[in-house]
Amino acid sequence: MLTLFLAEGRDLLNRVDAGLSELERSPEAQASLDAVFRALHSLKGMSATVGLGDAAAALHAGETLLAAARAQGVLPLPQVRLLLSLGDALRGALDAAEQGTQAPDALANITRQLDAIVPLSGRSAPRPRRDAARLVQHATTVDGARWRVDIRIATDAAIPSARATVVVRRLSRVAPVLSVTPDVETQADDDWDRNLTVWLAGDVEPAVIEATVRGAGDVAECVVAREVTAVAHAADAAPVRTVRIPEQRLDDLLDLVGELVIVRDRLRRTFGTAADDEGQRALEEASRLVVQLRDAILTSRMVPLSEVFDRFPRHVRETAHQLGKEVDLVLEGRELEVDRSLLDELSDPLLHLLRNAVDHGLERPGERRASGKEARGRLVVRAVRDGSMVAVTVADDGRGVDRARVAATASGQGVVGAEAMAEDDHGLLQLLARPGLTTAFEVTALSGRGVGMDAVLTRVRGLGGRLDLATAAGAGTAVTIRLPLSVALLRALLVQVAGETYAIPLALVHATHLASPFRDGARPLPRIITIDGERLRSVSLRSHLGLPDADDVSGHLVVLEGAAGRVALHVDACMAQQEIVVKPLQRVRGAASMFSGGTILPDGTPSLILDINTLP
Amino acid sequence: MSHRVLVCDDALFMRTLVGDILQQAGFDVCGQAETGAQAVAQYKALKPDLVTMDIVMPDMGGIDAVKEITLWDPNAKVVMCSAMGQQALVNEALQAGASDFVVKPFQPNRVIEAVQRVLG
Repeated sequence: MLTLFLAEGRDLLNRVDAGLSELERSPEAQASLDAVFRALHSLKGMSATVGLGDAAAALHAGETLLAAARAQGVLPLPQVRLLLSLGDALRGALDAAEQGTQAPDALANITRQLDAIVPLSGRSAPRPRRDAARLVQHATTVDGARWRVDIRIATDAAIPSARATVVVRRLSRVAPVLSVTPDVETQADDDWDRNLTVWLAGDVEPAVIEATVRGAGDVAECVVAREVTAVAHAADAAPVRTVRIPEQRLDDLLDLVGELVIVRDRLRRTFGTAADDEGQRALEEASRLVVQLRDAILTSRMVPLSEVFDRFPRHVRETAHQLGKEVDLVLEGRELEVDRSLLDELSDPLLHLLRNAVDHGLERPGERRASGKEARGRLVVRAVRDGSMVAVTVADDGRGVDRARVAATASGQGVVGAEAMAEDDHGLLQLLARPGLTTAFEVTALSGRGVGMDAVLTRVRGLGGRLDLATAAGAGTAVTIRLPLSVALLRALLVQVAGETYAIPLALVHATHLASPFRDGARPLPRIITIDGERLRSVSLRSHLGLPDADDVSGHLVVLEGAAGRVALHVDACMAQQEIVVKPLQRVRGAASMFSGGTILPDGTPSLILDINTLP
Repeated sequence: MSHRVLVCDDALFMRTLVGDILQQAGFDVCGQAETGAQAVAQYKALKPDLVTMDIVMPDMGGIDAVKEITLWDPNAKVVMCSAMGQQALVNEALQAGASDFVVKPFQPNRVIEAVQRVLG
């Protein structure tokens, strides 16, 4: 019961956050006011039910504030901020409840602040809701895709407010107009700054939006950006009946179906040829159903990236604010679905990359203007499906990585050939991901928070993924994380050593070679071998596993993308590429650390998955 | 074929001025109206591609004429002609269904731009 409360409670808090983020931008967003109010109200009832009196009291104060804001049609910015901190405090209270510890004091403090506001706003005469409906045509359906259009009406335009109306009317013919800021009355003010922001729903090409806006005449500037608000999710999404299932149950189901697949393959091998036609057909039918079942279970574990992406706008705004920078954040592909476990793993690395981009990548407005850029930096998070992988790119249009500085820092720490490495993006990433170097770079403004680039790389590789960097001086930096869509299923290279089969995530395999040409008759294999002109360290899997070296000179070399650069791993034989179901290993002290998990092969034998980050 | 335009203004001077600007840009001024009621009647009779409409006219004002015309032909294209200081009326006309507006004193290129925007 508590588990359900916690899960749903966190869900509601995410909605509160999303709604407040929207209100931060447009304090009169009625749908968001309603959504936040509803979420606070629901959570209040739930909290009281499970005996979290402090949380319920705080929520009551928050709800009262929202009720007043709804009546007035606007939630002032300081109150938005206060409610955001209420959300944070409530998260803390939920965590405390989960761990059975005392709720933090923050809650009582915020309750007092909320209580102090409410009587004041309650006394003030209710202001009539502004007639936003005149300009705003609310969409009946909201697609996943939404656009934010920032428009500036030309200074020499006659009647700018009327021009704004023309713009909005034209836009409403290409896409549903969700919201316009500022409202008509403000536009009519003489001191209106002629800036207009329109939010659009629906699937429409950005070029069409821009052409429509510019076609309205007297438009000095028009910027179209893909916009992410969770309001659609919170308030407008079509109701779908859902059942909450603990993640563990889905994990168990996946385990079971994984074993079913293996049994199916054994059945096939045993009876595949012996069975008569009827038996064959039944076997095929069963096989097909097993695959369908597996896919259905995998699908049920999928969640949209928006669950993580929707935290970014607030995060980026706060970081930028702290650092005195101006950032436009564009989120693309938030509707893409990935495995639940993957989503959790993506969150920290992405937050780190975003923070990096705002802190190190983007310049301050003055510096940007001086180098001929827009004062506002542009930060794009784009997720795309790339075969069985998902690729998430964090790109900024900032100053780019300073190769010389990275090389100098690395050289100072004793890295040989750092200058040459820093010249290409791959080498630069390796330098950046060195633990010492990351620390040296991070001690600027926001140190001490989260993980470094080395941790990002380790995390991504541990999940069978890869990291890529592209940077150009003055033009910006893009870091791409590629991860398998499902971490439970992994494409692996099966290798054999001393009669045992081991699995290596295929994403980490750069190439395979026959070992014999590199031996030159000598045993054991030389420490450093040159493959395709590249000098690589060679590691014998046999000795890594503590086995005596083999006598024969055959075997394969598997070139791997290790955490500390490429490594040539010597194995007895490469067996096959295979899709495997990853089973977590119970941590056995010491011994298990070489392996990141286990799996059962189609012939029923168990196999261990090598954690190549532990290679010497 | 050039686009056919109906010019509506209670002042002959303005009708002539707008008509000249349009004709010089290659438009066919197919009719003129002095009142809102005339504008509506002319529109129904001539079915022009575009109407320029003064806001303040006797008999039936420009805004009411826009309403009548767009009621009869939802795709009607009307450019409002307004004087400075008629901000609220222009907005009202746009809400009523006008597509665009120009502000007096008329600059020929502004008028042509507005007309082309609406027809484009």
